[in-house]
Amino acid sequence: MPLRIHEPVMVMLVEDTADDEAIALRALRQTGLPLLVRIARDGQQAVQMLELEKPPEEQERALPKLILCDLKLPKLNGHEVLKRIKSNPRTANVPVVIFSSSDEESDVRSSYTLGANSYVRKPVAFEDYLEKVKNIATYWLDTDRGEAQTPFCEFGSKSLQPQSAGG
Amino acid sequence: MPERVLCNDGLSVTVGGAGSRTLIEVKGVVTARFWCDTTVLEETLEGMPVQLSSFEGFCFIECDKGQIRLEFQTRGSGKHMCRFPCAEFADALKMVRETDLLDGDFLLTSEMAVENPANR
Repeated sequence: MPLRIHEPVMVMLVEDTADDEAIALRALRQTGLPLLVRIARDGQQAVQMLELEKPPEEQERALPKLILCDLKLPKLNGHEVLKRIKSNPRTANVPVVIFSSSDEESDVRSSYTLGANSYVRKPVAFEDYLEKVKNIATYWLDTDRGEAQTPFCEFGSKSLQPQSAGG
Repeated sequence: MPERVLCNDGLSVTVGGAGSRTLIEVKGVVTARFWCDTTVLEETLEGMPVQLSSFEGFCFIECDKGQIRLEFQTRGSGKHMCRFPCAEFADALKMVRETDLLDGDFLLTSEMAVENPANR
């Protein structure tokens, strides 16, 4: 019997602050979903991962199911990354959640104008931030929940019985 | 499926696979396996870390000053970490890239099933 492993759902995290990255990664682990989280630590890396600078015929990578993007980023800020994602027909439908410490109305308005699917102000308290990321991720990834809807990848002749989610 | 052991010091890390599909097996108290696109792992060497989580636990891989830092935790156990040279990780991924899918014993995905007749 082949080894069966749940094919993970890809999530992209664009975050340049180490502490915030650690909280987001922890929250994503706590969703209990098999995830592949790719981390871009500046806007330029995010653009590279999504192949937004390549001509359409050369864009061939699998896209994330969800992008969590900080607003204040080095090299290219979150609004610029968002603009490029939403103006590219290939990536336009990927949900983008903007996380920011800013609650300035202009930042919120600009984010939604550029096509953000959610704008979340980063809570100050660690536990609140953790809970917020977990809820947001669970909401946007909900359609991939459950064994029946999670595709498998199988390797070799060993067998692996997936354990139940949670913990 | 060819495999390469990259770390065997408390934590055992094995990389295997074929072509664009890489399997990472991490053995601590419990064994967890993660599959990943080879490209994603190659890009960890360019400064783009990755976190793989499964029902068994999670594995975080980051290139830091010429060393791969791998954090691993299974559900209900403590976090473990190991380091090995980025060059060795790069070599293992090269081995995966150069492995023809048909040379592996089995490599199946939801859309694709390739079987080595020798295993029938």
